[in-house]
Amino acid sequence: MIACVRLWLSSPTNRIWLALVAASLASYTLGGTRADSAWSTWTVWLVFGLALTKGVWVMDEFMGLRTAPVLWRRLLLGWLVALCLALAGLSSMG
Amino acid sequence: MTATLSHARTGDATAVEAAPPLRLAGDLAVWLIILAELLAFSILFLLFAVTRLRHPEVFAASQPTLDASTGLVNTLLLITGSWFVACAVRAASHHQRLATLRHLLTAQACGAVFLVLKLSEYADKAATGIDLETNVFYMFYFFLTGFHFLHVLAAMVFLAFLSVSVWRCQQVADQHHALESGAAFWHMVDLLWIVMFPLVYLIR
Repeated sequence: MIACVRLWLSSPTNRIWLALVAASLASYTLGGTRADSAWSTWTVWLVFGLALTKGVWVMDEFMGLRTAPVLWRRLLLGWLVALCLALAGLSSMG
Repeated sequence: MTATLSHARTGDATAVEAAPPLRLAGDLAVWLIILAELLAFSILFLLFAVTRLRHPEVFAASQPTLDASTGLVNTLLLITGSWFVACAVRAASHHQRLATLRHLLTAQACGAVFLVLKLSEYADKAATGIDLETNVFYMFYFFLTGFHFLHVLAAMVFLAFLSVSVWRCQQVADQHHALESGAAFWHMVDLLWIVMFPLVYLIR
């Protein structure tokens, strides 16, 4: 059983899927626990930080940007970083 | 294909190692479409965030009516779909035709459940008299999620064509390039939802 789990976890694709699920549950938990109170600035940044991390994992591991030409990788990761920063900034201003 | 060589100097000896070639997984045209889609969605996301600043009371009253649990399930479905698509591409590179097909069909099943959940969400809203014209929040909600819904549908059609190609072909490796293109489009749909979920459902 443990050997099966180890074998399953030896695949980067499987590990990334597991990490994505964990990060999604963390985002949801943050949303649920703070739903009745005003969102503090740090919570907004934390949730968008999680979204950014998930996005980087999807781009690098699933879309294969880790082995893409540098310009493409910088362009797409730059887009994601800029978007998450802008959305977190705008959302924390409210 | 041009091989990339990395040169490393260690002491007096110069070692030359073959590094994996840097390349885009899939067709360049698909990546240009992806780039255009990402830019279009980012404009909509920014408009949503700016409008929330201008109408905080409307957003505060309307956003709690969305079911974040359904949003979470949808997130998990798209992530799992992405995982199966990535597994399909890997199986194709290992010449495993049936495994490729199985993974593609499972990914489409994840997409189908996502669409059914989204439709039931829209039906719930319609049953309570909420539509595009109710207020500015719901206009953005229907427009953003509806536009994304159409992209999930398009990605599923793309995967369905790929499934048929894989089913018909003898050598699944021949379909590897097309599979990578379809996979990139599917992952883009997942990526957009990863940003949309906290923006629309979570942050209040």
